[in-house]
Amino acid sequence: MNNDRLRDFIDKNRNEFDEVESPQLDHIWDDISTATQQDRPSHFKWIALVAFMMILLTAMWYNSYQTNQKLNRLEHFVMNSPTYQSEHQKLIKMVADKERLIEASDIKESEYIELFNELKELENNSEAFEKDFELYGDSSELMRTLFKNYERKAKILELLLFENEKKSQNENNNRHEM
Amino acid sequence: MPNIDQTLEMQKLIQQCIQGKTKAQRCIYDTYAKAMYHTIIRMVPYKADAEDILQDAFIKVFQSLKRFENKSTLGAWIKRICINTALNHLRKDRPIDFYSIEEFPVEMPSVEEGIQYNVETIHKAIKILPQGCRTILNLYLFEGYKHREIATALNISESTSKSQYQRGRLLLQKELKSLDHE
Repeated sequence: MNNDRLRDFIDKNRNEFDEVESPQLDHIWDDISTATQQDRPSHFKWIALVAFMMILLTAMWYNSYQTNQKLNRLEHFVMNSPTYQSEHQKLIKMVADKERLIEASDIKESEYIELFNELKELENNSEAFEKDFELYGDSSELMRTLFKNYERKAKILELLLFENEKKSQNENNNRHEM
Repeated sequence: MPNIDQTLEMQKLIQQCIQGKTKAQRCIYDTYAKAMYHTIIRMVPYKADAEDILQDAFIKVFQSLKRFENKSTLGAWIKRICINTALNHLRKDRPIDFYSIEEFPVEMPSVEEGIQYNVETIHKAIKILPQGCRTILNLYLFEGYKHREIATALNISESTSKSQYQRGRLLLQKELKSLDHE
Protein backbone atom coordinates (compact mmCIF):
# COMPACT_ATOMS: atom_id res chain seq x y z
CA MET A 1 0.00 0.00 0.00
CA ASN A 2 1.58 3.20 -1.18
CA ASN A 3 1.66 6.26 0.97
CA ASP A 4 0.43 4.30 4.00
CA ARG A 5 1.33 6.54 6.94
CA LEU A 6 0.14 4.10 9.58
CA ARG A 7 2.16 1.21 8.23
CA ASP A 8 5.26 3.39 7.86
CA PHE A 9 4.88 4.56 11.45
CA ILE A 10 4.51 0.99 12.73
CA ASP A 11 7.54 -0.22 10.71
CA LYS A 12 9.68 2.67 11.98
CA ASN A 13 8.69 2.12 15.60
CA ARG A 14 8.25 -1.67 15.53
CA ASN A 15 10.48 -2.36 18.54
CA GLU A 16 8.72 0.26 20.67
CA PHE A 17 5.42 -1.58 20.10
CA ASP A 18 6.97 -4.54 21.95
CA GLU A 19 7.78 -2.41 24.99
CA VAL A 20 4.40 -0.79 25.78
CA GLU A 21 3.24 -3.11 28.57
CA SER A 22 4.99 -4.68 31.54
CA PRO A 23 3.88 -8.29 31.89
CA GLN A 24 4.83 -10.33 34.98
CA LEU A 25 7.54 -12.24 33.14
CA ASP A 26 9.26 -13.64 36.24
CA HIS A 27 6.00 -15.03 37.57
CA ILE A 28 5.19 -16.60 34.18
CA TRP A 29 8.70 -18.09 34.05
CA ASP A 30 8.19 -19.81 37.42
CA ASP A 31 5.21 -21.72 36.00
CA ILE A 32 7.02 -22.55 32.76
CA SER A 33 10.06 -23.76 34.69
CA THR A 34 7.93 -26.00 36.93
CA ALA A 35 6.17 -27.52 33.90
CA THR A 36 9.39 -28.14 31.94
CA GLN A 37 11.18 -29.64 34.97
CA GLN A 38 8.47 -32.33 35.16
CA ASP A 39 9.03 -32.99 31.47
CA ARG A 40 12.73 -33.78 31.58
CA PRO A 41 14.01 -36.52 29.23
CA SER A 42 13.59 -40.04 30.61
CA HIS A 43 17.37 -40.77 30.80
CA PHE A 44 17.51 -38.42 33.78
CA LYS A 45 15.20 -40.84 35.59
CA TRP A 46 17.55 -43.73 34.72
CA ILE A 47 20.58 -41.80 35.90
CA ALA A 48 18.74 -40.99 39.13
CA LEU A 49 17.79 -44.65 39.56
CA VAL A 50 21.36 -45.87 38.93
CA ALA A 51 22.70 -43.24 41.34
CA PHE A 52 20.19 -44.34 43.96
CA MET A 53 21.17 -48.01 43.50
CA MET A 54 24.87 -47.09 43.80
CA ILE A 55 24.21 -45.20 47.03
CA LEU A 56 22.13 -48.10 48.38
CA LEU A 57 24.81 -50.70 47.53
CA THR A 58 27.56 -48.52 49.01
CA ALA A 59 25.51 -48.09 52.19
CA MET A 60 24.94 -51.87 52.38
CA TRP A 61 28.63 -52.61 51.80
CA TYR A 62 29.65 -50.04 54.43
CA ASN A 63 27.18 -51.47 56.91
CA SER A 64 28.48 -55.00 56.28
CA TYR A 65 32.08 -53.76 56.60
CA GLN A 66 31.28 -52.06 59.91
CA THR A 67 29.58 -55.22 61.24
CA ASN A 68 32.57 -57.36 60.25
CA GLN A 69 34.91 -54.92 61.94
CA LYS A 70 32.83 -55.10 65.12
CA LEU A 71 32.76 -58.92 65.01
CA ASN A 72 36.52 -59.04 64.47
CA ARG A 73 37.07 -56.71 67.42
CA LEU A 74 34.70 -58.82 69.55
CA GLU A 75 36.44 -62.06 68.53
CA HIS A 76 39.81 -60.55 69.32
CA PHE A 77 38.52 -59.42 72.71
CA VAL A 78 37.01 -62.83 73.53
CA MET A 79 40.04 -64.81 72.35
CA ASN A 80 42.30 -62.73 74.52
CA SER A 81 40.06 -62.66 77.58
CA PRO A 82 41.34 -64.62 80.65
CA THR A 83 38.03 -66.49 81.01
CA TYR A 84 38.18 -67.77 77.43
CA GLN A 85 41.84 -68.73 77.78
CA SER A 86 41.09 -70.65 80.95
CA GLU A 87 38.09 -72.46 79.42
CA HIS A 88 40.08 -73.24 76.31
CA GLN A 89 42.88 -74.77 78.35
CA LYS A 90 40.32 -76.86 80.24
CA LEU A 91 38.86 -78.13 76.98
CA ILE A 92 42.31 -79.06 75.65
CA LYS A 93 43.05 -80.92 78.86
CA MET A 94 39.70 -82.75 78.74
CA VAL A 95 40.27 -83.90 75.16
CA ALA A 96 43.79 -85.07 76.02
CA ASP A 97 42.48 -87.02 79.05
CA LYS A 98 39.83 -88.65 76.88
CA GLU A 99 42.47 -89.65 74.34
CA ARG A 100 44.64 -91.09 77.08
CA LEU A 101 41.64 -93.01 78.38
CA ILE A 102 40.90 -94.42 74.96
CA GLU A 103 44.52 -95.49 74.50
CA ALA A 104 44.56 -97.00 77.99
CA SER A 105 41.38 -98.94 77.42
CA ASP A 106 42.79 -101.23 74.75
CA ILE A 107 41.31 -104.67 75.27
CA LYS A 108 43.38 -107.74 74.79
CA GLU A 109 42.07 -110.84 73.00
CA SER A 110 41.90 -112.90 76.19
CA GLU A 111 39.87 -110.14 77.82
CA TYR A 112 37.34 -110.29 74.96
CA ILE A 113 36.65 -113.94 75.78
CA GLU A 114 36.19 -113.03 79.42
CA LEU A 115 33.82 -110.18 78.52
CA PHE A 116 31.69 -112.38 76.27
CA ASN A 117 31.57 -115.09 78.92
CA GLU A 118 30.43 -112.53 81.44
CA LEU A 119 27.77 -111.31 79.03
CA LYS A 120 26.54 -114.85 78.58
CA GLU A 121 26.44 -115.38 82.35
CA LEU A 122 24.55 -112.12 82.83
CA GLU A 123 22.11 -113.28 80.16
CA ASN A 124 21.58 -116.50 82.07
CA ASN A 125 21.11 -114.54 85.26
CA SER A 126 18.48 -112.39 83.57
CA GLU A 127 16.51 -115.47 82.51
CA ALA A 128 16.77 -116.89 86.07
CA PHE A 129 15.59 -113.59 87.57
CA GLU A 130 12.61 -113.55 85.20
CA LYS A 131 11.63 -117.00 86.43
CA ASP A 132 12.06 -115.86 90.05
CA PHE A 133 9.69 -112.98 89.25
CA GLU A 134 7.06 -115.46 88.13
CA LEU A 135 7.63 -117.62 91.24
CA TYR A 136 8.04 -114.97 93.97
CA GLY A 137 6.37 -111.94 92.54
CA ASP A 138 7.87 -108.48 92.53
CA SER A 139 10.16 -107.55 95.41
CA SER A 140 12.37 -104.49 95.65
CA GLU A 141 15.40 -106.68 96.38
CA LEU A 142 14.81 -108.68 93.21
CA MET A 143 14.23 -105.51 91.20
CA ARG A 144 17.48 -103.93 92.44
CA THR A 145 19.45 -107.09 91.57
CA LEU A 146 17.88 -107.23 88.09
CA PHE A 147 18.67 -103.53 87.53
CA LYS A 148 22.32 -104.03 88.55
CA ASN A 149 22.48 -106.98 86.18
CA TYR A 150 21.25 -104.84 83.28
CA GLU A 151 23.57 -102.02 84.30
CA ARG A 152 26.58 -104.33 84.16
CA LYS A 153 25.45 -105.66 80.75
CA ALA A 154 25.07 -102.10 79.42
CA LYS A 155 28.58 -101.17 80.61
CA ILE A 156 30.14 -104.19 78.93
CA LEU A 157 28.25 -103.50 75.69
CA GLU A 158 29.28 -99.83 75.80
CA LEU A 159 32.91 -100.84 76.26
CA LEU A 160 32.72 -103.22 73.29
CA LEU A 161 31.03 -100.58 71.14
CA PHE A 162 33.63 -97.97 72.04
CA GLU A 163 36.44 -100.42 71.26
CA ASN A 164 34.85 -101.23 67.92
CA GLU A 165 34.57 -97.52 66.98
CA LYS A 166 38.17 -96.94 67.95
CA LYS A 167 39.32 -99.78 65.70
CA SER A 168 37.33 -98.40 62.76
CA GLN A 169 38.84 -94.98 63.34
CA ASN A 170 42.37 -96.43 63.43
CA GLU A 171 41.74 -98.35 60.22
CA ASN A 172 40.55 -95.18 58.48
CA ASN A 173 43.58 -93.25 59.66
CA ASN A 174 45.95 -95.98 58.41
CA ARG A 175 44.20 -95.97 55.01
CA HIS A 176 44.66 -92.20 54.70
CA GLU A 177 48.32 -92.39 55.69
CA MET A 178 48.94 -95.02 52.99
CA MET B 1 13.86 -8.77 18.17
CA PRO B 2 17.30 -9.45 19.71
CA ASN B 3 20.07 -10.13 17.26
CA ILE B 4 21.39 -13.41 18.61
CA ASP B 5 19.64 -15.74 16.19
CA GLN B 6 21.55 -18.35 14.22
CA THR B 7 24.82 -17.71 15.99
CA LEU B 8 26.95 -20.49 17.42
CA GLU B 9 26.00 -19.32 20.87
CA MET B 10 22.31 -19.70 20.02
CA GLN B 11 22.89 -23.22 18.67
CA LYS B 12 24.63 -24.09 21.92
CA LEU B 13 21.74 -22.63 23.91
CA ILE B 14 19.22 -24.64 21.87
CA GLN B 15 21.15 -27.87 22.54
CA GLN B 16 21.27 -27.11 26.25
CA CYS B 17 17.52 -26.40 26.25
CA ILE B 18 16.90 -29.78 24.58
CA GLN B 19 18.96 -31.38 27.38
CA GLY B 20 16.58 -29.71 29.84
CA LYS B 21 19.05 -27.17 31.27
CA THR B 22 17.03 -24.52 33.06
CA LYS B 23 19.60 -21.74 32.70
CA ALA B 24 19.59 -22.03 28.90
CA GLN B 25 15.78 -22.11 28.81
CA ARG B 26 15.66 -19.00 30.98
CA CYS B 27 18.11 -17.26 28.65
CA ILE B 28 15.92 -17.95 25.60
CA TYR B 29 12.82 -16.93 27.54
CA ASP B 30 14.41 -13.64 28.63
CA THR B 31 15.43 -12.93 25.04
CA TYR B 32 12.00 -13.39 23.46
CA ALA B 33 9.30 -13.31 26.13
CA LYS B 34 8.49 -9.59 26.13
CA ALA B 35 8.17 -9.30 22.34
CA MET B 36 6.05 -12.47 22.25
CA TYR B 37 3.82 -11.14 25.00
CA HIS B 38 3.11 -8.01 22.92
CA THR B 39 2.36 -10.11 19.84
CA ILE B 40 -0.17 -12.03 21.94
CA ILE B 41 -1.71 -9.07 23.79
CA ARG B 42 -2.47 -7.35 20.47
CA MET B 43 -4.48 -10.45 19.49
CA VAL B 44 -5.98 -11.34 22.89
CA PRO B 45 -6.46 -8.00 24.63
CA TYR B 46 -6.74 -9.27 28.21
CA LYS B 47 -3.57 -9.33 30.30
CA ALA B 48 -4.37 -12.50 32.27
CA ASP B 49 -5.28 -14.42 29.09
CA ALA B 50 -2.20 -13.14 27.27
CA GLU B 51 0.06 -14.26 30.15
CA ASP B 52 -1.53 -17.72 30.18
CA ILE B 53 -1.05 -18.01 26.41
CA LEU B 54 2.58 -16.90 26.70
CA GLN B 55 3.15 -19.55 29.35
CA ASP B 56 1.54 -22.32 27.25
CA ALA B 57 3.44 -21.21 24.16
CA PHE B 58 6.85 -21.32 25.87
CA ILE B 59 6.11 -24.74 27.37
CA LYS B 60 5.36 -25.91 23.79
CA VAL B 61 8.58 -24.25 22.58
CA PHE B 62 10.75 -26.12 25.10
CA GLN B 63 8.91 -29.38 24.54
CA SER B 64 9.29 -29.25 20.75
CA LEU B 65 12.65 -27.49 20.43
CA LYS B 66 14.28 -30.73 19.26
CA ARG B 67 12.12 -30.45 16.12
CA PHE B 68 13.38 -26.93 15.31
CA GLU B 69 15.14 -27.26 11.95
CA ASN B 70 16.83 -23.87 11.42
CA LYS B 71 14.64 -23.22 8.36
CA SER B 72 13.75 -19.89 9.96
CA THR B 73 15.22 -17.93 12.84
CA LEU B 74 14.45 -19.21 16.33
CA GLY B 75 12.57 -15.95 17.00
CA ALA B 76 10.30 -16.44 13.97
CA TRP B 77 9.70 -20.08 14.99
CA ILE B 78 8.77 -19.09 18.55
CA LYS B 79 6.51 -16.28 17.21
CA ARG B 80 4.65 -18.77 15.00
CA ILE B 81 4.02 -20.98 18.05
CA CYS B 82 2.79 -17.95 20.04
CA ILE B 83 0.45 -16.81 17.25
CA ASN B 84 -0.95 -20.34 16.78
CA THR B 85 -1.47 -20.72 20.53
CA ALA B 86 -3.27 -17.35 20.62
CA LEU B 87 -5.45 -18.30 17.62
CA ASN B 88 -6.36 -21.63 19.28
CA HIS B 89 -7.32 -19.71 22.40
CA LEU B 90 -9.56 -17.38 20.38
CA ARG B 91 -11.20 -20.31 18.56
CA LYS B 92 -11.74 -22.13 21.86
CA ASP B 93 -13.48 -19.11 23.35
CA ARG B 94 -15.84 -18.80 20.38
CA PRO B 95 -15.45 -18.97 16.58
CA ILE B 96 -13.65 -15.89 15.29
CA ASP B 97 -16.22 -13.60 13.69
CA PHE B 98 -15.05 -12.70 10.18
CA TYR B 99 -17.39 -10.58 8.08
CA SER B 100 -16.88 -10.07 4.39
CA ILE B 101 -16.71 -6.58 2.96
CA GLU B 102 -19.86 -7.29 0.98
CA GLU B 103 -21.78 -7.78 4.22
CA PHE B 104 -20.28 -4.77 5.93
CA PRO B 105 -19.16 -2.37 3.22
CA VAL B 106 -16.80 0.24 4.56
CA GLU B 107 -14.84 2.93 2.86
CA MET B 108 -11.11 3.01 3.22
CA PRO B 109 -10.12 6.39 4.58
CA SER B 110 -8.28 8.05 1.72
CA VAL B 111 -6.56 10.65 3.85
CA GLU B 112 -5.48 10.04 7.42
CA GLU B 113 -4.82 13.68 8.11
CA GLY B 114 -5.25 15.26 11.46
CA ILE B 115 -4.14 12.15 13.39
CA GLN B 116 -0.85 12.26 15.22
CA TYR B 117 0.33 8.66 15.55
CA ASN B 118 1.65 7.51 18.88
CA VAL B 119 2.84 4.02 19.84
CA GLU B 120 0.82 3.77 23.03
CA THR B 121 -2.37 5.16 21.44
CA ILE B 122 -2.16 2.73 18.52
CA HIS B 123 -1.55 -0.15 20.93
CA LYS B 124 -4.56 0.88 22.99
CA ALA B 125 -6.81 1.39 19.92
CA ILE B 126 -5.94 -2.01 18.43
CA LYS B 127 -7.00 -3.75 21.65
CA ILE B 128 -10.47 -2.14 21.37
CA LEU B 129 -11.14 -3.44 17.81
CA PRO B 130 -13.55 -6.35 17.20
CA GLN B 131 -11.80 -9.69 17.42
CA GLY B 132 -11.97 -10.73 13.74
CA CYS B 133 -10.55 -7.60 12.14
CA ARG B 134 -8.13 -7.08 15.05
CA THR B 135 -6.55 -10.49 14.39
CA ILE B 136 -6.10 -9.79 10.66
CA LEU B 137 -4.84 -6.24 11.22
CA ASN B 138 -2.24 -7.51 13.65
CA LEU B 139 -1.04 -10.35 11.46
CA TYR B 140 -0.80 -8.05 8.42
CA LEU B 141 0.57 -4.84 9.96
CA PHE B 142 2.71 -6.14 12.83
CA GLU B 143 3.70 -9.70 11.99
CA GLY B 144 4.28 -9.30 8.26
CA TYR B 145 1.82 -11.95 7.09
CA LYS B 146 0.52 -11.77 3.50
CA HIS B 147 -3.24 -12.03 2.93
CA ARG B 148 -2.72 -15.51 1.44
CA GLU B 149 -0.90 -16.65 4.62
CA ILE B 150 -3.58 -15.09 6.84
CA ALA B 151 -6.29 -16.87 4.82
CA THR B 152 -4.52 -20.22 5.34
CA ALA B 153 -3.86 -19.63 9.03
CA LEU B 154 -7.44 -18.58 9.78
CA ASN B 155 -9.12 -20.89 7.27
CA ILE B 156 -10.87 -18.03 5.46
CA SER B 157 -10.75 -16.73 1.90
CA GLU B 158 -8.08 -14.28 0.83
CA SER B 159 -10.79 -11.72 -0.06
CA THR B 160 -12.26 -11.99 3.45
CA SER B 161 -8.82 -11.30 4.85
CA LYS B 162 -8.46 -8.21 2.64
CA SER B 163 -11.94 -6.88 3.44
CA GLN B 164 -11.46 -7.43 7.15
CA TYR B 165 -8.13 -5.64 6.98
CA GLN B 166 -9.77 -2.61 5.37
CA ARG B 167 -12.56 -2.67 7.92
CA GLY B 168 -10.02 -2.89 10.71
CA ARG B 169 -8.11 0.08 9.35
CA LEU B 170 -11.31 2.19 9.25
CA LEU B 171 -12.29 1.25 12.80
CA LEU B 172 -8.74 1.89 13.98
CA GLN B 173 -8.82 5.42 12.51
CA LYS B 174 -12.07 6.08 14.32
CA GLU B 175 -10.67 4.79 17.60
CA LEU B 176 -7.48 6.81 17.16
CA LYS B 177 -9.47 9.98 16.51
CA SER B 178 -11.64 9.36 19.50
CA LEU B 179 -8.61 8.65 21.74
CA ASP B 180 -6.89 11.71 20.29
CA HIS B 181 -9.78 13.93 21.40
CA GLU B 182 -9.77 12.57 24.97
